[in-house]
Amino acid sequence: MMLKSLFIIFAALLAGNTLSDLLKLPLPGSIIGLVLITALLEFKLIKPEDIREGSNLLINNMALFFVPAGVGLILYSEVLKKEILPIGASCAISTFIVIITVSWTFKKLSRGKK
Amino acid sequence: MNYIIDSQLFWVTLTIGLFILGKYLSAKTKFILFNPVLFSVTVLIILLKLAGIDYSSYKSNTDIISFFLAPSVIALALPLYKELEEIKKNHMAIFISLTAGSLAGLLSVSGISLLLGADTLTVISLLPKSVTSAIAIEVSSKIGGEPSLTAGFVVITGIIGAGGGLFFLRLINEHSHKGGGLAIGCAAHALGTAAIAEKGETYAAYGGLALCVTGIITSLLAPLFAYIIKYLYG
Repeated sequence: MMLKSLFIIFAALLAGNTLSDLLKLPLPGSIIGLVLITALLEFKLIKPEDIREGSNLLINNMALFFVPAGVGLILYSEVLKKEILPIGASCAISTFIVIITVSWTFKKLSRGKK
Repeated sequence: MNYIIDSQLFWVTLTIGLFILGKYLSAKTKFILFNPVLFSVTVLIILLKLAGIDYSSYKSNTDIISFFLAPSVIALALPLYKELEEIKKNHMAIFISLTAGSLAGLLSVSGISLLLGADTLTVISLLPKSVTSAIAIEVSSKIGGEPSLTAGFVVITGIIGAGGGLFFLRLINEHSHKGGGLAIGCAAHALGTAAIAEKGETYAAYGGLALCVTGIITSLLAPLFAYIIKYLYG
């Protein structure tokens, strides 16, 4: 059921935000909520079917939800213009270095367990 | 006319429409620059500039879209749960590769930006660029960066990972959805994960796992890097 699955996901976010705020955790509510839902599934307190419809809807359109935040780059046009080379190059090269590092390390360490 | 343009309906419809167009163009042409996020963000920025509309008014008119961002991160729990047994078997390999990835990210982004002459404040604000924005902003303010700048860098990194990530995985011959998901989630947080999540559930599971673990590791390691940078370049 779509509505029930969204309810569970929103409630987990609400719980995550509350915990993050009350315990002054350096983690955002969404990460706490993700861990919380995974735990609820693992301990069979909820079933995968309970969140399937809402999860699929959200995951399939996840990239769209970033667009308004992305448009926020417009606010930094001054800094970006001034330091476009160091910022652009370091973000791009570093992203690829991280991808290589993780992919390579994981391949080495999990060999044979594909 | 003005009240039609200054409405949620107008901007939400336009944003979704441009995103769909970007999706269509990238499927049609296989051209990296037509990545739906990159495409719609670029067109919207140009439109706002041309029309002289403030970001704050665009932002409040599209809050309803951003609202779903945090729930969509939580939704990654489902693919993650399906892979949980596999993940438990491999937990050391996963933890070590993500720690190595976080270190490589912090080291390379600070090294390269310093080398190319960036401001110390810019360099420190760049440190949490690979983690999901909520964590990045928190970390940035804690280590003496500029949180609003960091938010921008997080988006830039996400767009790079979303647009170029899959292409790059193919380039380095990484065909495993596990390793690939971990790599993209670690390098380009939820935005990168969003781009690969639609290519398969395993990608979504490992991307989601990586963005959580990387967020935690980076929030622990970034202060050390910030301290060293401030000590050396004061």
